[in-house]
Parts: sequence; C-alpha cells; structure tokens
Amino acid sequence: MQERRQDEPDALVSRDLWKQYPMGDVTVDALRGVNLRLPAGQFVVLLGPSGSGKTTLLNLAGGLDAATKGELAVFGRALNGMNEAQLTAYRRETVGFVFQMFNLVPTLTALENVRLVAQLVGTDHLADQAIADVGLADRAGNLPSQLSGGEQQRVAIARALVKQPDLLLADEPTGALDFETGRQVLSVLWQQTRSRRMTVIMVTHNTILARMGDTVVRLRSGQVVGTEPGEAIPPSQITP
Amino acid sequence: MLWRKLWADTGALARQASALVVLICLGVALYVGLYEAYQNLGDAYDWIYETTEFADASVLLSAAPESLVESAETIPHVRQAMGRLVKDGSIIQRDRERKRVVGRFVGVPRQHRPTVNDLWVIEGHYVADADEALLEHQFAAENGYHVGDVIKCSYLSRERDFTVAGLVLSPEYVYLVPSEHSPFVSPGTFGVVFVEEDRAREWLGVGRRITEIHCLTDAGYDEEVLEKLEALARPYGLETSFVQEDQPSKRLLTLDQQGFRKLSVFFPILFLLSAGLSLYGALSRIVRLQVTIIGMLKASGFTSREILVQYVMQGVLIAVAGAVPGSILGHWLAVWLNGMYADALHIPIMKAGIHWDTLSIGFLLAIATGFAAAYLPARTAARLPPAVAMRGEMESARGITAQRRLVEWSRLRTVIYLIPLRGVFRRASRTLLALGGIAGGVVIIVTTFGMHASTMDALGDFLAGSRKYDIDIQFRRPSSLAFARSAAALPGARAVSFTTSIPVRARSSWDSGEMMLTGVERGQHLLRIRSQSGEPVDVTPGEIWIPQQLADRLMVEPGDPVMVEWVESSRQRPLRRAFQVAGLVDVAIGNSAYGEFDDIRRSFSDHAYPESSYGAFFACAPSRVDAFKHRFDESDEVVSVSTTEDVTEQIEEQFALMLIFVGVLLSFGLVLAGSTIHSVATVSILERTRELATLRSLGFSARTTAGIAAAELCVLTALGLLVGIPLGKWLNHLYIQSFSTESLAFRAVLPLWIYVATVLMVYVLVGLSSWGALRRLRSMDLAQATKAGE
Ligand SMILES: Nc1ncnc2c1ncn2[C@@H]1O[C@H](COP(=O)(O)OP(=O)(O)O)[C@@H](O)[C@H]1O
Ligand SMILES: [Mg+2]
Repeated sequence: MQERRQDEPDALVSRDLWKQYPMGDVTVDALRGVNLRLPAGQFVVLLGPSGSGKTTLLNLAGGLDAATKGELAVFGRALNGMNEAQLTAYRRETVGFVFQMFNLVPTLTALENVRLVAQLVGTDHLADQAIADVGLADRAGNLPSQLSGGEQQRVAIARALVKQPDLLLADEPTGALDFETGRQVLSVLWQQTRSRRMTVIMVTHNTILARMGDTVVRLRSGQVVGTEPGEAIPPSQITP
Repeated sequence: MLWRKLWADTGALARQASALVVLICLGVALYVGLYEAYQNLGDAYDWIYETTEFADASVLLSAAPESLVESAETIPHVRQAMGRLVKDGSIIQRDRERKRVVGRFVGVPRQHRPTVNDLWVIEGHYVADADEALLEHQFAAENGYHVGDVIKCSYLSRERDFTVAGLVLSPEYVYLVPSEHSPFVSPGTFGVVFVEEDRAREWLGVGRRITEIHCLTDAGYDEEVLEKLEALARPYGLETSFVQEDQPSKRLLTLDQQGFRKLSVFFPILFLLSAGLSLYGALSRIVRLQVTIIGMLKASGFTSREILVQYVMQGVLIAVAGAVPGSILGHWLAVWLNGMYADALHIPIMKAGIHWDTLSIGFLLAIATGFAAAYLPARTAARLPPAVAMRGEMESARGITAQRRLVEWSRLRTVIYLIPLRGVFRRASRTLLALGGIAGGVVIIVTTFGMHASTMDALGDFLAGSRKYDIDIQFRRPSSLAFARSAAALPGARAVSFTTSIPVRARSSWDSGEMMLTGVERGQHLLRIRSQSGEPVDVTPGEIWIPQQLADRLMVEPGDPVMVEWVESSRQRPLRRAFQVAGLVDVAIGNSAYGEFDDIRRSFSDHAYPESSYGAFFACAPSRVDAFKHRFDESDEVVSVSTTEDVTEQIEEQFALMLIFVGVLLSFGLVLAGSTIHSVATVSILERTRELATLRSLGFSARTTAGIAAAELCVLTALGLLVGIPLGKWLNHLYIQSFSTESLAFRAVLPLWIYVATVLMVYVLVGLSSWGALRRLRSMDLAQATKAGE
C-alpha cells in the first residue's frame, strides 16, 4: 500500500454530525453526533447492525441528504451550506456511488450506462476500458435485464469508476447478491480502487467482509463506537 | 395490516385518484345531464302532441269540397278526420318594426275546438267571435302582440282586422317551420293566425272549400291511411302529404333531438373511456409498486381471488365516488339545459323529472368502467407467483426481446438522449396507455372544435359567404319585378337581381329527391354560389347546379341528365323538364339547386304561380338600407322584405343554442383532456422517480433530469397527437355527417387553426401537468428515492 502525502486533506472529517428524521410527533435520531476522521486513499469499511445509521452517513457524505446539524467535510470541502448547484457539481466531480439495488438505467446497455456518466464528466474515452476492467467486455451490449445481479453490480462499479472520483461510496454493494457472487464483485471493487489509490467507503453489516478494509469504523445507534485498522485481506482470500 | 398497506398506496396517489374521480364524475354528469335533457325534451313534445291530438296523416291540396272530409272518415282505421282552409298572405304591421311579414291563415271552428291539431291556449281564450283570432305565441312574442291587440291581415290585397283573443301553441309549429323547404325562419317573420272558419271562408274567398285534411289514425296505420288519403286528394291537386313523423316541424324537432341524443352518448363515452384508461394506468402502477407486498400476502396464504377482489374494489370505489356526485351534477345540468332550450324555442312547458333509468345506466356505466379498468391490473397482481413477486420483478421474456430490438434500432452518440427516446417505448403497455390517454384528449378537443367550426361554417356560409346583397324582397306576383327594376334606378341603389324559386322533385334512373330550384340571373353577383371546389358558379340555360347530398342520392355526376318535375295541381299534368347537371354546389344548409332565371321561369315558375315565388336581391348604400326597406314594406307589390342584417341576427339567435352546447362540451372536453394528460404526465414522471434520482446522485443536475422526463413526455405527446389528430378528424367527420339529412347539410370542416390550437393546448396541458411533478422532482429526497423499489 502506498502512502499519501502528509499535506493532502483528509478524505472525510465530521464533527458532531446529527441527522434527525421527523416522524409525526417523534423524531428519529439516525445519527447522533458522529465524529470521524478518515484519511485519503484508504478502503474504509463502515460496519454496523441494521438501523445503526450507516446508509444515512453514506448519503450525507455523498451529498444526497443534508445533515440536521454538525459539520461534514470531504477533501477539505464543507458539505453543509452548499447550494443545489454546488451539490450537483460535488456529486458529479468528487463522488462515485454504488447502490445496493444497482440502479442502472434499464433502457441503456451496460456500456451505455457507463458512457452516460463518462460523457457527463468528459471521460468518454475511458468507458470501454472501464467495462473491460470489471470483466464485462463481452457483455457490454447487454441490457441490465439481461445481466445477472453480480454483473449488474459490476456495471455499476464501472459506472462509478469511470468518473475517476476522489471518493467512492458503496452501500451494501453485495446486499442483493449471494456470498460467492458478492465476493467476486468485491474483488473487482477492491482491485480497481486499490490500483488507483482511490478512497472508498463501503457499508456492510457483514463482519466477515469487514476484513478487507484498511480501516473499519463501527457504528451503533447512530454513533461511532470504534475506529480500528482492518486486516486489508483481498476479498478473494476471505472465506465465510 | 397488509391489507391496510395495499390501500395506503392508493391514498398516497390521492391526487391522481381524485383526478380519476373527477373524470368519472364528469363522464356520468355529462351522460345523465344530456340524456335526461333529451328525455325531458321528448316527454314535453310527446305530451304536447298527445294532448293536442296531433294529426297522424295529412294531405295538403289546392282546393277540395268539404264533403271530402266525410270520404276521408270512411277510410279504414281513420279515427277522426278534419278539413280546414289554409292560405298564406301577409301580416301588415305599419306601426311595428317589421312592416310586412308572411302570414299563414288557418280556419278553425267556433262552436268547438279542432278535433285534430288542437291548440294549446297559453294566454287568453279560444275564438268566440268572427272578429277574433288566435296568434301563434312565438310570433306574438317576437312582434309584441298581446291579448286584445288588433292584427291586420292581408290576403290578395283584401285586408281584415282581427282582435287577438289568445296566444296559442300549435303542435304543427312547435319548431317554427313554414315548410320543409325553409328550415330556417325567424319567429318574427312568419306568423300563423287562426281565424274563425266562416270568416275565413268569406275572406279567403274559396267558398265552402278546404285545402287541408288531417286525420287521426289507429296506431300503426298512418302510412296505410296516408296512401288512401293521397288517392282521395289527387283529383283535387295534391300538393304534399305526410305522416306525423314527416311533418316539417316535427321532423326538424326530431332531428334536433337526435342530435342531442348523439351528443349525450358520444361525449360521455369518450369521457368514460379516458377515465377507464387512466384508472387502468394508475392501478397498474399501484400493482407494480406493491409487487413485494403481494408476494408476502401470497406467501402468507391469501388466495389469488382475495387479492383480485382487493384491487378490483379499488377501481370500483373510485368509480362510485365519481358516479354519485356525477349523477347529481348531471341532473342539474339537465334542468339547466332544458331551461335554456325551452327559452330558445319558446316552449312554455318543460318537465324536468328524474329519470331513474338514465341515472342507473350512468351509474352502471361508471362502475363497469371502474371494474374493467381495475380487472386487468388486479388479475396481474393475483396471478403473480409469490417468488417472482417477492423479488420485485415483473419483466417478461417477451418484453426483453422487444427491448433488445429497441436497443438495436436506436443508437445515438450522446447517451443521455437515449433515455427519453427509449423510455417512450420501454413498456408497450405503458406507452399504449399514455398514447391512448393523450390521443383521447386530442380527439375530444378536435371533435368539439370541429363541431364549433362546422356550425360557424354553416352560419358564415349562409350569411357572409353567399349574401352579397342588403335586402331580400319577395314579390306578390311575377309582374312585380318591374317595380324592383324601377327601385334600382333610385339614388343609393347599387344593384338588383331577380330570382324565382319553386319546390320540385329531381329524378335520375336511380332515385328521386326533393329540392328547392332557384333561378338566378346569369352573371349576377349578389347571391354568391360556390361550387364544391370553392369556385364561384355562374348559371347557364339548360343546366342546373345541385347540392352534393342530392347528387349522391341520385347517383349523378356533372354532365349527367336529371329530370326535374313539378306536379301541377289542378291540371293534373306535371311540368317536366330535363336538365344537365352543371356541377355540384357547396351548400352548408338547405337543399337549394340553381338554374338560370329565365329558363326556370319559363319552364316552371310562370306555370306554377302562385306556388312559385318571385323575388329580388337588392344592394344599396349602407346608409340607405332602412330607407329602401321602408319603401318596399309600404308597397303593395311586396309580400315580405328582410335585410341581411336582420336575418343575420335572427339566425345567430337560433344558433346560439348550438353554440352554448358546443361551449359546454368544449369546457368539459378540455377538463377531460387536461385530466387525462395530467394523469399520463404524472404517472410517467412518478414511475421514473428512482431512475431520475439515480441520475441526480450520479451528478446530473436537477434541470437535466427534469429535461429528460419532459423530453420523454413531449415525444409521447407528439405521438399522441399523431394518432389523435387523424382519429379526431375521422370521428368529427362521422359525427357531423350523422347530422346531415337531405334538406340540412353540415360540412365537417377543420380549419388550420384547430390543428394549431389543439397542438398548443395539448402541449400547454402537458406543460402544466408535468410542471407540478417536475417541481416535486427537484425537491425530492434523493436518499429515499434511490432505494425505493420501482
Ligand atoms: N427517511 C427516513 N425517515 C425516517 N426514518 C429514517 C429514514 N431513513 C432512515 N431512517 C431511520 O434512521 C435509522 C438509520 O437508518 P439507516 O441509516 O438506513 O440504517 P442502516 O443503513 O444502518 O440500516 C433507522 O432507525 C431508520 O429507521
Ligand atoms: Mg442501509
């Protein structure tokens, strides 16, 4: 693993980050004062039981949702206080998303799904390579409905990577896949982000998968209960 | 609990559900309103016809001895026969606005009420004295006659004064028509005066002779009786004969009613169809949203049947929610329409009963719509295998092949443009639904506009298009023409052109048909006659121009010969003459055919006088119109004078009714098109929420994503227009055609502005209805939307 330079800002810094959802008379505290500092270039695994606030934190980091209070900065840029145009630019330039349910555009082929984003950020020439990188060169012309779940998720990864984002966010990317398929997908994700020294935050509730992270952040009831170094084992070597 | 969830989603689509309720409500209201109005109208007329003993069979003849009535009474199945004397002359009103109008004088007995064609005395009393007369109430209202006033009547220059004893409604003039040849007459210019029999004989000067026989027959024997009646009348110069259904006033009334009836079925059905389509779309969407819940329901043991019932119930409940207020609204509409109609036609009685049959049909139609629309999605839901349902997928193999083909067919460099393009065709069912909805809206807009345009066209044609003169004069006798010629030499006069008309029958080897043959001077330009292709027509001796409808009926083309005949009464020798069809004339209203003045005069009019008429078109300086009118009014040579301005006003009044209907329909149509398009727009955007949210999380701006959704809708709308406009055009044609008869032709016209207006309106509607949905898209919760199942 290569070290990043010291003066480079941290990938993510949060201070007393709160997210509350009003639900009728009561408010649900999804995040309750999260303090976090994640250095750049790491593969971070966000681990916690269901309902602990993982998705909420990831969505805040991705600029899909706004915090109720507290501060959140990604690569030194504060997300709270950004207007819609700035958020759009942030989502476009800084982050890549991989969703649990893949969220591919159903009417576009695998390659077109990747090119859609590549054209947005001006990296159209990288689209073919991105599809090849996730091992789908021969399925590039297939529609999502003609791909297996694992293949769809690999397209989603290619779609996120082709943007060459500073931060890749993956919310339970294997949640809809069986273990073996999930492991293959994670291998692709791991390899591709490793080789580019990309910062990754991957959410999972699976402690076994957590072993692949450089850093493991444990979340419980909306609070960080521990940040520890991970084992950084390649997914291909993880056994259930 | 789970059941609750099923219904909660319907609640979440409350805006859409309420749009559907409104649609169904309008459909039912329109049906109930129009159909009840039609029924009320029918009831009112039937009541009038029944209580007045309206004749079942009638013959009009030149003159016959009164004893002919006794012979008529011996015809089998004749229940009652009545003979009477009727003559046309003029009513002179020196101190009123119209100095001289056409008067029809009808003899009625003094000792008892007429046994056939009785009168309904609205005001005053029945004739009790030879100096008294009864006046048809529409004419009285138009010209300001009241009971007790004196009316001056003139027949062949013999003037008589009568005291108006009462204002009456006659079954023969419910719809005020002098004869089948003049369907449009203003109540102000045609007065029917019922005078005491003995006085009529003495004044109208034909001794103990009658000109009409009217019979009541046993039910179902009218045609049979009429034939025998005709045979009886033939030696006495049979002029025309008809059963009750063909009596000119009743025929036009029936036509009017039928139009009403067509409206009351045609438009509501369009409404309910659109509502059904939208409902189908909404429920399909709900089912897709609830696929996983359905899976769980099934996994936990609910039967397909139970699930089916739940979804069908949703559709039926929406239908009921619309049908209840719809029925009430419809009943009000009927009462209102009847009021308008009664006013416009001066019908003093109008019943506005509740017609339970119509209400029930409206209700059932609505429920059937709800049921039919809900059934398919409900069945889809019920048939979902639990495993598939729980995975939340509903893609079929066939769908995938279709998509594959779509991909091959559509390739673009810039991928983002592919999304709306392919989105349009993504799911055939959805596309068809949306297309159907938009096309339905378009059809409604086009047909309502089309109706308006055809009406205005008929009007415009009748008035501005053809009348280039200021005054229309009807003469007393052929020799009066000289009088008009002398008037044309006066200062201010511009032109005069003579005309003569006579009702004739045209025959080909195929069929025959009636027409009003009008002779106009060669080279005249005061009455503009246009050919089918819009060219101005000039007449030449030996040739006649006939209307399209007649040509179709006779199966003749320009160049073909037709035999024209007039059955002359007293001499029993018909006047016949062969003409060549010069071409087809474009007449919006009426059944006029045109020939050369002298030709027609010599062949028919001069021999048929006084059954033919002579007149002149007169053009003068605008400031002199009133002076000339006055001058003609005063003259003994003139039977009636009408200015183009008066006629315009009168006809516009008659058409006002039609325009009200069109207005009502147009506003209903717009609401319908609007709500259909609204639901299509909303669904097509809501359905894409997850996809659009994903695009935004990938870094596309809110504007771009909204643009994609809007572009898809615009393409869909364009397709809807492509389908809807020709369909609307075709339906409009059918619809307008269904109004046309031998004597009354409407053209289906769709001027360019209708297309432009339709396209604009549809896009404005799409814009308005997607605006709300797009706004919601801007402020949507991306975090939620990206994980929501489709
Ligand atoms: N949109 C929302 N409205 C209300 N409550 C929410 C919403 N999203 C998440 N929550 C609540 O916030 C808490 C954290 O949710 P989430 O971040 O999705 O957890 P995780 O991803 O760890 O399973 C949960 O209790 C969840 O019910
Ligand atoms: Mg989660």
